Amino acid sequence: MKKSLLIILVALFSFGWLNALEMSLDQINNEAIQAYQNKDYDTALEKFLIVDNNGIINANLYYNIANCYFRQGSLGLSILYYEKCLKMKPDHAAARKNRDFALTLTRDKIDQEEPSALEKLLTKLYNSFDLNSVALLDIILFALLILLLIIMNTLFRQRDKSLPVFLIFLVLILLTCSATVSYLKYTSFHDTKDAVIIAATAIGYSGPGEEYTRVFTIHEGMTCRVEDANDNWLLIKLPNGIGGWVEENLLQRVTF
Amino acid sequence: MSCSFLLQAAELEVDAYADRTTIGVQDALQYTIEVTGSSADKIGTPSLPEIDGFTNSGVSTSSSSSYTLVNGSFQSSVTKKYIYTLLPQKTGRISIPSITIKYKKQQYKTRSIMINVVPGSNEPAPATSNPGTSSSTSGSETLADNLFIDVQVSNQQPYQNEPVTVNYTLYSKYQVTSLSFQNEPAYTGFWKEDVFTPNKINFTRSNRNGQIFNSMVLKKVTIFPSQTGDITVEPLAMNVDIRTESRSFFDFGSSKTYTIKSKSLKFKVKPLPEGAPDNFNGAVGSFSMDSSISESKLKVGDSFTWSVTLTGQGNFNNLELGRLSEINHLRFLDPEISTQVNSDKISGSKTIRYLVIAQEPGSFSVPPLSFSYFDYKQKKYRTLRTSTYQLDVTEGDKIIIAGSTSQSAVHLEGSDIGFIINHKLSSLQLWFDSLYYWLLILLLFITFPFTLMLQKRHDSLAADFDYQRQKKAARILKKYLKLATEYQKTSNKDFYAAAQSGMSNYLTDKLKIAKGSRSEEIINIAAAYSMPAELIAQIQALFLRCNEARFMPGGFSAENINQDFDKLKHIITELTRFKLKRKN
Repeated sequence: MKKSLLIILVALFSFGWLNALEMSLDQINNEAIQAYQNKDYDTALEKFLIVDNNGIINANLYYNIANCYFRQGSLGLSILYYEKCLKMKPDHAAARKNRDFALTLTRDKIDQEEPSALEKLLTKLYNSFDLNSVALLDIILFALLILLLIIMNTLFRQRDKSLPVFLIFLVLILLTCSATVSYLKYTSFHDTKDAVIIAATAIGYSGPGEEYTRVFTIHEGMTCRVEDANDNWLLIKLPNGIGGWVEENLLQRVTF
Repeated sequence: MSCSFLLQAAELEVDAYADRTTIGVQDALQYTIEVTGSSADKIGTPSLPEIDGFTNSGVSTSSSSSYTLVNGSFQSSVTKKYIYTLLPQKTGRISIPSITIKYKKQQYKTRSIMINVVPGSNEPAPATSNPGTSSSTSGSETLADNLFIDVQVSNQQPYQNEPVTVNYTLYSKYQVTSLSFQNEPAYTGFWKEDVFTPNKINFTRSNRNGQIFNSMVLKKVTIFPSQTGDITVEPLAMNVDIRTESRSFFDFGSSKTYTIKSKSLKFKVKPLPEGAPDNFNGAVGSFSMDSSISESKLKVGDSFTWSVTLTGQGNFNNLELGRLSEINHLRFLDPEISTQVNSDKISGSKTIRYLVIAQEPGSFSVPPLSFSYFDYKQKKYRTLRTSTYQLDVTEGDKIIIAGSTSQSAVHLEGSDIGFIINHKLSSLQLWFDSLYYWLLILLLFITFPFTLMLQKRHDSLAADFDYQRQKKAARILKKYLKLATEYQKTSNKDFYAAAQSGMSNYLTDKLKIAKGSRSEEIINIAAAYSMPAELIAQIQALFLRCNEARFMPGGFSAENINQDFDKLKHIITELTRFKLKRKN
């Protein structure tokens, strides 16, 4: 009697488990969104993270995860996911706004120089393209270049070539710019140096170990760059240029 | 003469002596090196070697000059005295070794002196000027009984970080004219806070063990042991000038300097016991804590202060009060910490004041701040806790949070993050990582050489003149045919001229022969190509017909023109149908 009950229980359990596996990620995602709308942030986060752990790379997913973490009060992790979203889609306005808001709640304030108007414009221009749009731009410009070369060699064979030559140079310059931007964006996309402090506090030492001099104390949500590693210690550089060794588990890198 | 003067002057006499050969271990020895000679002031202060049993606590110099006339020559002599104050460290016979002084490659040696150090003090006591009682009743004869430094220590077996007060008091039965510190202890192994140092001589009468003394507090310090185990603090040494009483009418009295030392202090510092609370931070003493909150009902955007004050006795200067843990939706600005320590360096207070801004409506509780310390009187750890405060934050007016991000100051209209995005689940595929993207680039790339190749082929054909002529032929034929069609419609006689010249031009181009060749020639050459005989016959017939219609009177008739046009059309379709090939 007992045994059969156990079998039934196991069968029910495994059925449920199988069912969960079969449930598509899409469904889990929709459930997560539903849970968030019902203000059940814990469930929403849990489900979003299942989707995230299944190798889905999606800016909006990161944005939603960041919002869940923010609602839970994990400032560091929420900033980490906003950064992930922005790294993938620099023109994600909502993520930028939320990240900036989250940053106002962090304890460390590092004064940085206000960028000049030109710098701002260039940054905005640079950030207004994601990687695939630049890839599209590259291929369009390349096709245009080939087309212009063909036209110059056919229609303008016996004619004045200054117009096609001018156009070719123009396209060539544009293509160089777009290829450079592509390269920069591609390397920064695959760059693993950006990191966010996720522990409440992290102490920076002058060397990889607690026996070294304390250099600084930073708090949750601080963004930094990882410059070097030694065992469980990472040499990080803060936005104001100060460097220090921090324990590896206190921060998380902005990678996909 | 001046030469001999210099020679004599170069000679030095060096001597060394001590003021006594038997001294008490609490006394100080004056050891003098005397250098005499005209160039005595040219040598530097001789350095004493390390003497086992004595510590050198300083040197003073004095010099005097004398001039003498010997055998009519004038001689000057300088005597320089270096007076060292040596403090004995142990009893027994101690030898001060011979000191070597080098001058102008010559060595001068002093003699070594044997000093007998006896316990206590055998400084001859000058007559006391005891206030109140007559000098004869002051029983003791030795200096140490009449002039000494007493040390009072609050606890010689303290815990680590426990405050310990040390008071040095000078007791004297003499009239002290001046005082100076000869050696102040370094208190190695302690954190030292000076509590009191006198700035003028100020004796008060005091009774000590039934004897009346003039007493004066020399120094008060509070020390906090920073290490455990046995620690010895070296004695405090003072230079005391005493006025001696005048003994006769002509003796006005004089002042004599004595060096006296306190006892050295021995501490046995106990480590703090086991079982410290987690948040224990090394505070030792006795404390009480008080906290307050300025407001408990506020609107979003309002701020309140949360303050905690720690008062009591202990090591305030090395004290860390914990920090409040952050609460969501409440923004804690960096706290303002003030420490106020009283002049005894033990009692005082420390205050932490947080300015907190409410950011979200709701009801919050500010968690207590706990502080642990070791109560050395009760010998146990204690933990103090502030009270928990309940906060009610109601919706306020729209607020502007001027916070600075790592980028710049942002002004946000709202105080919350944006809502989530209902997104369709699709994973990012980087085009740069996909093969198709690069295949497309490659495809575009090879388009260019491919078109170049096509172009080249086209060019090489265009360069061929005969090929051009053949291509042109069809155009010519079309032109004449068009003309002929027009003439045929109006039954014009010129139709035949157009038909003949069109066909003739076409054939000459096609057959690559000179223009204006006669029709017979054209026919002959055409026969050499693989042209069907039937077609050649038709062409010949048409040429003939044209000639008839053009040149023979009555050869033209409107009825035949349609028939001939059909013939012409047939010939042209036949001609364009096949390629001309020369028969071999």
